[in-house]
Amino acid sequence: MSSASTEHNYINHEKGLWSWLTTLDHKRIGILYMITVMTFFAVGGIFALLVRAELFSVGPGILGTASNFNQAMTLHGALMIFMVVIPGIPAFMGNFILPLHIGAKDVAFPRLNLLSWYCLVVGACVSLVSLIYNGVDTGWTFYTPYSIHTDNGTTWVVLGAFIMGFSSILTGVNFIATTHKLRCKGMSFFRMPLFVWGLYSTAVLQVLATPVLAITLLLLIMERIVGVGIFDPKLGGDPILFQHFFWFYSHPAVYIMILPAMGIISEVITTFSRKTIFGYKAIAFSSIGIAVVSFFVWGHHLFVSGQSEVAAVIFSFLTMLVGVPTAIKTFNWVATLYKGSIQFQSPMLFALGFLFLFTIGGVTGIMLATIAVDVHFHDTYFVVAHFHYVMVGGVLMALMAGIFYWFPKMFGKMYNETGAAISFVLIFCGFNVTFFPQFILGAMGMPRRYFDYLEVYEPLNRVSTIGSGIIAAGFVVALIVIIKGLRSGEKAPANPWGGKTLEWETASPPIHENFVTEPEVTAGPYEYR
Amino acid sequence: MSESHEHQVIPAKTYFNVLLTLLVLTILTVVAAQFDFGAANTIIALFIATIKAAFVFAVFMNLRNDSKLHWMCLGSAVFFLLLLYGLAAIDIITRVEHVNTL
Amino acid sequence: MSTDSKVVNTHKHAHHFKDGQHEFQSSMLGVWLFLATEILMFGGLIVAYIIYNSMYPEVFAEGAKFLDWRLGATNTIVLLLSSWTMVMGVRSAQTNNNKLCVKYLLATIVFGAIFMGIKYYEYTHKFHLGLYPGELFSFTGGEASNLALYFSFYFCLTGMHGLHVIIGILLIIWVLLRAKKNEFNSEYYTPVEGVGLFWHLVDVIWIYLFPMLYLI
Repeated sequence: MSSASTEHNYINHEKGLWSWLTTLDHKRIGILYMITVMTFFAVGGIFALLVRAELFSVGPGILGTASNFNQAMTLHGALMIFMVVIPGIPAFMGNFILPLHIGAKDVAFPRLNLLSWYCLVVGACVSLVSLIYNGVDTGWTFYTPYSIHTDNGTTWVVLGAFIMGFSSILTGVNFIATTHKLRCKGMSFFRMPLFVWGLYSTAVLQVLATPVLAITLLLLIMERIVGVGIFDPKLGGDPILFQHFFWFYSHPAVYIMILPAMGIISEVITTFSRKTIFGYKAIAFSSIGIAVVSFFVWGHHLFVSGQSEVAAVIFSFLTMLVGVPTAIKTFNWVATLYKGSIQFQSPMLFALGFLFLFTIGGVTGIMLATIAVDVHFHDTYFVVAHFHYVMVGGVLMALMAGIFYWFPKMFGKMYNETGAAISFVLIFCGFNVTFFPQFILGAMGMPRRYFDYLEVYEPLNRVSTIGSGIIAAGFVVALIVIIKGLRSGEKAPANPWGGKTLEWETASPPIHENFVTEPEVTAGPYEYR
Repeated sequence: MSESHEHQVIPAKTYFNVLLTLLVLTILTVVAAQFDFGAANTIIALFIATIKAAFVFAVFMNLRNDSKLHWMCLGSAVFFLLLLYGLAAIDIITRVEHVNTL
Repeated sequence: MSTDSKVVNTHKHAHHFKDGQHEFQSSMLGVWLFLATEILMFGGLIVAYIIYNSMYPEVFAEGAKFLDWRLGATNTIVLLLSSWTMVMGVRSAQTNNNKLCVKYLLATIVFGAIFMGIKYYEYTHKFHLGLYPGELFSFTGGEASNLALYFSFYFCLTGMHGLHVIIGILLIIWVLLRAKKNEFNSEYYTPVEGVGLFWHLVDVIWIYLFPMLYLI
């Protein structure tokens, strides 16, 4: 299909800020999310840099007191989780790309879609009100009884997270309905791109897990305001029950973060190997499999909290199970590369980086699933390193891959490839310098969430802090590449990468209605020669 | 796929009969609660409640004629709820008091 | 089956749907997905209640004595009747019987209001005795030292439920106003059906709360 004129597209379809704030177009809503998520990433990143700067040396540093440190570390976690990694890929890229991938004109419920963005923004603002009241120092997990009695802005952050939960739920409802009801002619379930399978599995988690967090947070708010005592030992409440309820959501939540990321990796690896993905059905089913099994494993966060040993053993076993579908995906991606015609542009660089970093993250997760190992590593830097490898090395690398992959489609312009590749090198190297030493620190026994530490841990902490500076530089470079691309990038063709999924069949940027005529699909999504 | 079954009109009599059934089951619940069956009290009461809920879901909410997807919504919600209860309960029930041997 | 004269379908389906039927099916799926989230949210609270009930059976048994099962049973009957009037309201819209639809919706609202009225009576009676949630609990006549825990659950469960009854009533009022403007007919009655599904779920939750709180 010849590249349609870029005179009329979703960006210039209507003009003015108000048209953006009241838009019902899924593509515009995706861009609204992009701006929001990137802003919160910057703020959360600054908190991270402050934390790392504080930990550069033994003794008080830039943050001065333990109280300031606890606030910075809590807000870094809460911001990143609720405002960046959970909405990041589904609400930003999922919103933009999902209807295009299935040949639809929009998502099923465009007004709910806009509402979900407002929920995120309002929830985020409510959370930030806590800063007026001395912030939050409980860690993003809000464990009771400390979170009940700590005298600061905790209620605001918890309320904000509650509101942001609705954003997640609405997105999930929308994506499930969209996938079932709005696929174009010929688009059977097994002809859908794997990114859609990833988003669908994520949506199932968003719908089924988030409500339990909602009631948990509500009860915590009631505890703080009225003292209902359900999780407070003073009244016979059980703090471990809080943890059960909290992690019943929060473990599936990490799969809400990684499943869409894995979807992006499937897309990028296929396109940049110019080869059909290996084991389409295996990857599709393993997405659903991961989603389901993710509900069974939450107790591995409670191994040393006071949970019974019987329960711990059951959860340990179930946690190892969830590694299986994840491994299946990884093997399939590597098999796709084999004998492919590999193009090393930036999206592929980030995808390859994902393979390496996510594997380390995943494998260390299985290590932690072993109870005997976890008793030693729980609440140490080993755990911190593990989850940063999967969340940053996994989700964030995939997010970057997706941004550069779909940048030409979203904005009709090309970005500077050299600049993007430099950002990759800085982020990849910086990441390993920051977090690999943390595995060692954890094994040496350094506790997490601590404002200060013993002398023996200082050298590796210094290395880690230097690494954080390198990562920051990498993201600054990436931001410059994006902004320059938006302002003065070369005009992008409809299909710069030779991709085979439906979004490449329409103009860059797409017209308001996505496709000139409704597409009709007669083959699978990755039919390379 | 035939569209008519979704807009199918259920006879008013059916709805009325279900209402009567629900009212009778409510009376049954109250009557059963007057007797003490020991541990089975809870099970009996919840069992009757589930039957009432089933009538509301199946007829009033038209689940018996509806798309399987709607069943899945209800079924998966209930399944994961049972999972939450089940594993948390296993924890609570199998907790052993550890006596400090020092 | 009577039909209002001059029933005209004025509803236009959204542009991304093939036709009104497609839109209806999608909307219903959306409502059911939302109901799943409500089941999980209430269900979580109920799970917590069941677990604590098994941990402190004497406390919960003592607390339950303060609840009058006759009021609970009356409320159960009121909600069941309201579910029936709701579904008859939907049916009336389906069969182009607008006037009857309005009557049934009104009846549903009245039943909902009666439910809240009885709830209000129950709450004030408890407050009078000093049975408040949480820290405000000031009743001293109880045997169990943590009787307040039971009432925390009681007020959270019934309060959450009552909030949903109020939201339901507001939604039914919204649908009623649209029905009065003749917006619904056999081709388009999606909002009535959707709100109806929500109302039935609120009823189902009470079907469980009644025996759990008042009878066991």
